[in-house]
Amino acid sequence: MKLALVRDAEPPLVDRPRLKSIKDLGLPGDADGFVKGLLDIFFERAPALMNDLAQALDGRDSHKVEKLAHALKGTAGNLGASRMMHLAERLESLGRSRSLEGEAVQILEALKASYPDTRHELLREYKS
Amino acid sequence: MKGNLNDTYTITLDDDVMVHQIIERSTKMKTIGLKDPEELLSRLDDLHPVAVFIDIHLGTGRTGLEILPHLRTAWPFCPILVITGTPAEHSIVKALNSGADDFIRKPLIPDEVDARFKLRMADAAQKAAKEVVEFGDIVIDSAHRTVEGPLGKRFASPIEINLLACLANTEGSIVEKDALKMRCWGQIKVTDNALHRKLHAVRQLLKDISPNVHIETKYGVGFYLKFHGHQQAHLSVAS
Repeated sequence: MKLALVRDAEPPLVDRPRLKSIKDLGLPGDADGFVKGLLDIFFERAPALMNDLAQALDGRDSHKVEKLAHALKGTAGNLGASRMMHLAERLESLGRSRSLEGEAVQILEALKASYPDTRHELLREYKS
Repeated sequence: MKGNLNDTYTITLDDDVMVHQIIERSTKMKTIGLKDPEELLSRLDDLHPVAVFIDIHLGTGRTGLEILPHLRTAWPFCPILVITGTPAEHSIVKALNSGADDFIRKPLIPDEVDARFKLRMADAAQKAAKEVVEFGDIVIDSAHRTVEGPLGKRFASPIEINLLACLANTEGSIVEKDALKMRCWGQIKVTDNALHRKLHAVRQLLKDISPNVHIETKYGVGFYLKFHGHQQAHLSVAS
């Protein structure tokens, strides 16, 4: 089920051109740490949002799920973390339609599972 | 970034500080980043941004969308760009109808943010060039919020100036009630009473500066500005 959820959308972990457009905002070699600062915000925010999402799902709070997933979608999307962005978008949509009974839990699991690889890939791209 | 209020800056309202930073870098202009719509509302009088970026879905109380008309009232000529991460087009339409000038989508694309920002700033500059409007024997200066005529010069509130400039810009055409509300307040939900109170205030102001310019009411249609002695053979309706 988990694999199917990822395979359905199959976006890359990281959208390189998008991440590059953000990297280009920084100084050469990220001398002022601008891009690293953004990555750190993501590394702090994404796990926190996923924890809050788990609680909101447990509580069947669809409005909260929608809001938190929307926030996660935004923060992932800004750095080009495509797979997490798309999964968060699907969760947001389920929250909006108050359909938390079905695949919502699996999507959150897929999000959690894709986070370490996303983090690794973002750092690798950052250093490249 | 906290920002020195004496400098030129934009405001970004979004609960994600990443968005503040990306907008600041993309536009190459300092931004004052805020997370809470209520905080922005409480600081309207102190802040004088050159442009505002606002997430319309933000807020646990009032949303970004709901505070838009307040921003438009406080900063009549300031470009307001809404940030939306929702595909629903109706929210963008609502935002544009509530006083926003443009929108940018999340995920943010730096070049797009910069292009839209520059476009709206250019629009604002063009509007500013037209901020001095003459009608009959009065001169309305929106930038300095003054109205001057043969009897003297008066200062007016932003909405009063907006209202008068809007009527003067149509050069005597009738402006429909709802169109006037939209142009002055950024929304049409404003009560008729509020509009009439403002019209009354502007009529009083006109009396002080010129005996020749009046706001006329075309019942059931709208309002228009009339210069005494100036024949208006045909009145068209401006919306």
